[in-house]
Amino acid sequence: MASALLFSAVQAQNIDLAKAYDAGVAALESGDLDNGLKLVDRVLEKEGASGLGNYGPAFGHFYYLKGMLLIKKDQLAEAIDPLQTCYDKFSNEGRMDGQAPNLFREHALFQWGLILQSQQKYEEAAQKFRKTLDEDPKRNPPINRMAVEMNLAQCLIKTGKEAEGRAMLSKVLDLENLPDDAIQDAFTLLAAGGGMGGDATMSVVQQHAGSLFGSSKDLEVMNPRLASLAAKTLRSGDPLQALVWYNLMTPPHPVIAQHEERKAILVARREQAISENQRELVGRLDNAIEELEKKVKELDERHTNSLLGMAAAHYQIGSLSTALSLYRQLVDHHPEFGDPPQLMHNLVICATQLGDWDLAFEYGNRFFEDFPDHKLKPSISRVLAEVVFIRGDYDRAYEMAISARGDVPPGTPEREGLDFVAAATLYLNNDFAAAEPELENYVNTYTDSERREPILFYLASAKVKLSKWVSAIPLLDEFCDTYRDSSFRPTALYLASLAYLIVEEPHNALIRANTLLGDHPRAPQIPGAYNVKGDAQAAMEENYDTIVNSYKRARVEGKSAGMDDISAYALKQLIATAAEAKDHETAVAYFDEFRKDYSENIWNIDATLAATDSLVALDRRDEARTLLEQLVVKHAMQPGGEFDSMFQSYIRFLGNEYTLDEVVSALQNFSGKGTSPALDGWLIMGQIEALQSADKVDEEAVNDRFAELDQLYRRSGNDLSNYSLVQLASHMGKQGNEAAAVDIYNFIVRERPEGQALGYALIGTATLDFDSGKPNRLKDAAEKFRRVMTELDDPELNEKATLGLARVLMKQEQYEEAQSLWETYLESKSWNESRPEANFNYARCLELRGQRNEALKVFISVYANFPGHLDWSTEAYLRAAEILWTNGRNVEALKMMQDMLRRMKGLEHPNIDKGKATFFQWRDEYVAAQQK
Amino acid sequence: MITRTFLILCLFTSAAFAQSEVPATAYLKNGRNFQGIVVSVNRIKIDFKLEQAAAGLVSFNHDEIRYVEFSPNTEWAEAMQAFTQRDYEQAALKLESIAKKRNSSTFYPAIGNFSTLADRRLLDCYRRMMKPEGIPPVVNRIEWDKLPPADRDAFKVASVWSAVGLKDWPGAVKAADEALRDVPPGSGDANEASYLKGLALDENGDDDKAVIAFGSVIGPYPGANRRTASDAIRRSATILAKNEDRKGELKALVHIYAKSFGNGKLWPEATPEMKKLLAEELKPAF
Repeated sequence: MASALLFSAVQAQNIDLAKAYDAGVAALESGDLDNGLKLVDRVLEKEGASGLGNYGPAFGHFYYLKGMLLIKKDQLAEAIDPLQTCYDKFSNEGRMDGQAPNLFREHALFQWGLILQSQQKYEEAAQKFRKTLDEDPKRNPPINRMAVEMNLAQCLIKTGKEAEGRAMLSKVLDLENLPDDAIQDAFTLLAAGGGMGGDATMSVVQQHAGSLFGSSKDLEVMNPRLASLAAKTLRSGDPLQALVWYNLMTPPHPVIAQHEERKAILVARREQAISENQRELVGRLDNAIEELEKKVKELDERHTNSLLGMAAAHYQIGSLSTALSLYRQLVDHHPEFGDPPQLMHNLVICATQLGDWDLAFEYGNRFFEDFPDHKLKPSISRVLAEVVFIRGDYDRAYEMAISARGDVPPGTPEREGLDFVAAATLYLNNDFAAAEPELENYVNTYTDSERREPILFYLASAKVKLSKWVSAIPLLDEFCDTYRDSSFRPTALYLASLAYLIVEEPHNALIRANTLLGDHPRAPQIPGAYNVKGDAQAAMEENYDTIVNSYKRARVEGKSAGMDDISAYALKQLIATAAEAKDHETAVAYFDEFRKDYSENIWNIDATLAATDSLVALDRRDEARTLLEQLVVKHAMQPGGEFDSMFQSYIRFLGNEYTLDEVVSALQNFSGKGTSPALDGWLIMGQIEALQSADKVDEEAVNDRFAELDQLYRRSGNDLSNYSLVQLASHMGKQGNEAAAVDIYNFIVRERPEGQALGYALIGTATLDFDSGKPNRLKDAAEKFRRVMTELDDPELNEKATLGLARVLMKQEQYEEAQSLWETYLESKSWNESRPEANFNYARCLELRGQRNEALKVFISVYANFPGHLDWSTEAYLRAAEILWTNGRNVEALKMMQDMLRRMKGLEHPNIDKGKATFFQWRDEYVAAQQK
Repeated sequence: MITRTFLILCLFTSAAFAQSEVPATAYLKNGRNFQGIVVSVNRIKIDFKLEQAAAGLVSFNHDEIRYVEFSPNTEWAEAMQAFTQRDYEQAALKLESIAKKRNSSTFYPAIGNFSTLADRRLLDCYRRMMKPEGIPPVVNRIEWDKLPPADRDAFKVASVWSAVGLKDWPGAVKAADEALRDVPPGSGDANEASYLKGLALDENGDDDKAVIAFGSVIGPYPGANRRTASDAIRRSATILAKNEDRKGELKALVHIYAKSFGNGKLWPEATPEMKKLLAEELKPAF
């Protein structure tokens, strides 16, 4: 600090100034500040007043020393006075010869300025710093002008002179060979005071990045500064800038590793010291180890805090891969730090957004295990349900979605994903019946959702799978119109064309097939679309060549695409089309081709059946029969719809080609008899059908066969076809054996609860209930009919169920609902089973509900349109006449009865007799009235 | 900031010394350490003449020693000078020469011998020069147990480099995963292993996983190795640019690069689309 030589020649009143000064400096350096101050104060007390005169400017060193001692004691305010004295009173101007100079005058001024700066008196401090810089730069000992400039710059920035301050800092940073810690200080000042993220700051970052970190010293000095800057910036909402600061930080791991290494050595040394019983050494080692542990802990905490900030910054700006890695570090290696559930939640979100389903799944599950009751659990569930869904674990995804959505209001964005997963998983698990209402709910609720596209498709497709063709059609059409770029559109168009075919709207089917062919020429559905096109054209009875061309194209496209089923179907249709056109040679040629290429194909049965007539026409009847019998035997072990259909065709073939006796004999002596109960059931059923087709039915023979069938049912009920079972039950019912009939129907409902069989069974038992006429059973009947109407989208069954329910309602005198059902029936033009009854009962409902005039018109239309249906036409006559009569239109009533009796002359029916009696009664009453 | 003292610490290596009079410090497993003059080294032990002892030899078996810090000879000092001056090519040349001297001149086979240390530093040279092809032979011959404990940590990362050097991409991914299980997360070694893993995945065409691996390089303390961090961003950006759904993350990365690594700009090969994203404001995604 100073040389004792300055005072070497001076002895003053028992005080050796040189020794006193050296002792003061030593006290300053050793930290013995109180003794140092006592010593300096004694000197100043004795010599201060005359110091300048006696010893010249160098005596100012004692004031500087006092100032520094006070600074070191943190008595900054008290330090100003001695420092000011050193600067003001001990100027080197006018120094006399032989007197030593005051070497610390400018240093005192600088320290004075630093104190003012620490007191936030930036203007005054700046003055001191400027004045310091104005002094001779070559003064010895030199003053650290760079430090002065940096502090001046800081004061300038603090007092609003930012440009000047930053220019000064930049000037400092431009210096060559600038020590790293100077760069770090200047940078920190610039960053903290000069506007974070400014160009100048960023320029420094880029230019001096290498100096801003890298050593353990930087770890101690810069990391806390940068972390503080980063945290502040992050809080101010600038995550990108926060990352700039975080990205400059030094990893603490090497220092931690050094500490750990040092600790390992000390621990080993401690064990040695214990074995040597060196207690004092053990104590010192314990302290040192504790100190190291403290440092490691502190570094680790700072490191973790920084990771939290870094993760948050990356997360906020959407730098998700990086955020993911940081959250993973935090969750895996610092599980107790910060807000663990939130961190794990963010991790799962990142992983989900990045499509790393495995990771999302792993940490989502960990969240459930670690924080089962946390408020973020629903949020995780929402995300995870989708993750599990994407991983293809549909059962689990469904469970998660169902359990998570209980707390979320329907229709909200949070709920949308859960509803999506619930609906989609059911569909993808082929549980179409359960999926249908979920899918419907989604489509109706989330009308603007992006995922409405797949869900609408799933819904339409589910309806198709459930054979709900009528309701599938508008959905498929909506899908195809709305989502024209969807990858599902070709399939949707294909399904729509199929659906239209099935509901017998071939024109619409053709339009969809053509749209598919035109809009999606490379779609895998193209070969199939040609088949649908051919089917539609056939149904529209277009010309032969047009139809054939479509099937030919389907055959070619299917073959080149390796779709054997499509090609085989096309060929089968070509056989059928040619056979239909009586072009038997062509049909048989196609059939031969089919047998060559597709003898094992699923369409083999149909192709064979389609070719049968042509084979017969070409004198190959026995060959046809052999082929059919081979097919029957081949499929006898696989009971089901296909076998049933095949056997029915075989029976039809026999019926067409052979006499009744031959048919019955053929079936009785069938070579494959006994192959399976299913076949045996059909052989009996075939005989029944044949016997029933006779002009005069041999009821006894029929009953014998049904008894045989009943025995078979009791042995192997499950192997019998639905058709046979329904026929058997129906027969039992007609025979008055209601218990046996109900047993069979219940068997169907229990064992085959889907499709037509269920419908027939329900209708069968409902009919028995209805026939009983008992109120309770009428109620049961109504329920069963309603079930058929809601669960089965089958026009034939729907007709029967509608009819049945309407009849029940008539009996229950619920005429309003009954009227509505009769209307429904009449509006369905293809329902023909009981139109006279429907018309009559519709009129009856009108009448009973007070609309007698309307009823009259309908009654008239019934007997006019259905004169042969005596049950209804006669009843209609009677009701119409009754209305007229009671309305006082007696002559019209009598004429109507007269008309009835004239038209039905010679016919027998109780109502005709009743009509006669009524006519004579009314005529007598009318004549009597006229005579009065 | 009341006072500041700027200290420039310069560590100069002393000039060559006679091989027979090499001072060294032995750090023992029991926590003690001894300073002395190395007299001889053989397969079993190392003999010291203690500086403070008047006479006599002290022998330590290698298995008693954590490691020995030998005073460097001229050749080692020159190699290290090149290394600290970042002249890795020159340093590698010298280190290759030292590494081959597995004899008493390098105090082989003592723990801390210069031959094995040379191999260890060679790994660092090739790593810093990003020349993975130089690493497999070094990894094959290096004897990790003859290194001071602090230098053994590089073992796992070296295996990754070696696989990368052999262009064994699946092997590199596997080695990186093993390394990442062992090294402290967020450390320089972890970042390096993640970088190499990303590189291997990228080469393998495993885009999504490569970006996640590079994310581990960009995340904690990327400034510690600006070269790998900025390369990780560039590679990630190139991958993400191929995917329309990842534009948000691409935008974040180009902004991070420009702000933290590129002085406001992107790298020369950056595509116009990346530049366009940089020109757009980066709004918080969450």
